[in-house]
Amino acid sequence: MAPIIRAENVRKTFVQRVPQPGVIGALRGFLSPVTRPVHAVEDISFSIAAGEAVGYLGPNGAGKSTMIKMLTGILSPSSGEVSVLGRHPQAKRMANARQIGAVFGQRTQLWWELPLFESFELHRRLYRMPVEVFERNRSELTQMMGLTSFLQRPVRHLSLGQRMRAEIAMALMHEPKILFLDEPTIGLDVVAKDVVRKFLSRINRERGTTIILTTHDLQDIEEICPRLIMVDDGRLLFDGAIPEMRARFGARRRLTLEFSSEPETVHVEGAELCGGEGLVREFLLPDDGRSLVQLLAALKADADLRDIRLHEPGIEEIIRTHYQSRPAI
Amino acid sequence: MSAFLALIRASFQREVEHRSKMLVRILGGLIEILARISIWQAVFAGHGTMNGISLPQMITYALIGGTILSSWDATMIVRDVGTTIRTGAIGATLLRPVNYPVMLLAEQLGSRLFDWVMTSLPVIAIMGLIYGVQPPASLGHAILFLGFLAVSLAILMLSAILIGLFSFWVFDAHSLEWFLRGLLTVLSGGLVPIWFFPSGLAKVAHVLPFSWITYHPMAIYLGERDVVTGIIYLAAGMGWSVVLGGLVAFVWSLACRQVVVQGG
Repeated sequence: MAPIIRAENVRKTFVQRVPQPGVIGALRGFLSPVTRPVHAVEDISFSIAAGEAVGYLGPNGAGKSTMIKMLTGILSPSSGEVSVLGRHPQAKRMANARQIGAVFGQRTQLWWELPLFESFELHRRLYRMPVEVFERNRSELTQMMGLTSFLQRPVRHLSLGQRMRAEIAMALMHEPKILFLDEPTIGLDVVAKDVVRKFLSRINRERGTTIILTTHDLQDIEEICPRLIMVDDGRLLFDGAIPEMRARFGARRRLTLEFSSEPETVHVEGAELCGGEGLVREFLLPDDGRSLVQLLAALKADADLRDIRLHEPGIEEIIRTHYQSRPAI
Repeated sequence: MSAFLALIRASFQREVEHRSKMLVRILGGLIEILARISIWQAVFAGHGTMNGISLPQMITYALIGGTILSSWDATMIVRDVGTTIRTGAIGATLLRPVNYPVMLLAEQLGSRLFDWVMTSLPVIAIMGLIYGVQPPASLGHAILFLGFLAVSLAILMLSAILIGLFSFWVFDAHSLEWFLRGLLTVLSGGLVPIWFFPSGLAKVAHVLPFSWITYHPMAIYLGERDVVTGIIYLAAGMGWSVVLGGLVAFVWSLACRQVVVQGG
């Protein structure tokens, strides 16, 4: 299928003013400012097909939001090319805006002082939606996101969880082909996060809405996005499925064995003892795809086994290992 | 159009939410008008007319010119635009299929209409009862005045939006706001009618668009011009509105390329 989002060698460089120390410095800075370039995005390329759900991941300042802003038409790349639904998103910002939805977790798109349903009504008019389509989507989304009880309440009185559900519902009201979410679960409690994740993954499955999501919370990605794009320091680190990433970054499964009495010697062929004391021993397994039964067969120990656990590495662990191993700046 | 009207209504509603501000605003308006009237009473002491203008006319000028035709509050637009840009909230607007200056215009019209109904009219009614307010010079002048009212609103909003858009380059909107406030207070004729300006300044102020905000509409209202001259001035004011509208569109297109969204 032809990609609906394409980024080719995209770079974005901001010019930042460097503050000079002291009064003299400040004055000199005022007359002839000292600036330095900040490379927020450096040479990133990827393409996304219709119906995909992609997690865009990276630490603070990695250039995630900048990329989202370029895809939504708010910023233009310094060089390279972005194309969304076959258009240049900034040059054709209005046309692009009608076909995409966006939720920026730290900014609201709702009208703060007005009751929630008024925001939806304004949204309908700004997106020039036919009334029947709007009514249908509103009742469906309101019900799915559980907004009914606070539709009449002014937005400023909503809790963060309620507001975020409303933001997402509104972003989907005009049936966008692509939904961009910039940290949609930031600050939400566990229950609200769960509602949002389940909803997004359902929208992606049932409506076929393409989802691009940036987040700090890796569980968002594990539950919503089969594909992961990882950036750091403006550069692309990884683009692929989550299992591939495990292989690529050498994350290993961990085997935990618990014995009924303290063993003298424990040996699992092909695995490396990495810890444990008393009744417990832990091993790191190479990426050989052995099953639990095969591992048990390879176990040699002089005590009776009471329990055994196999632990798959989460993305969090993989990424933590990666970021800790990169050279300090 | 339906979106434009809906935005006007939303912004009107938003003002209604801040009910507590209303009394304070009416009180403030009363004090301001009282001060203006007192000044003119002192100036006119012992004179029947000055430059052909009588004291009752001047009181009417202060009353209507200082409320519905006032340029003072509209400079808040500049602050609003500045805040929107400084906080990065502009991003949320750019995500929508809307033209930002048009949206701004609608929102400001909404709060202006609210101001007219909830502040200007009560202040005119109260002060008019005390000091007397003159009716429009004739029916023709009254109808023409309505046209001038629309032009006044257009020129005021568009110049404020125009200056506001410069926040994309000058990050401190406060300085822009004060610049506009000073400029408009003098050149609109809001504080002192252009009749009383020194002749050199009067000539300049007369043709600049800002005098259509307060001075020209009031000159029509008070019958200082005949209807035919009034129509010519109205046409000129419309011309200025179109020019300012064009400038706003042009500066906006430049600003779009300049956008640096703050934060994250």
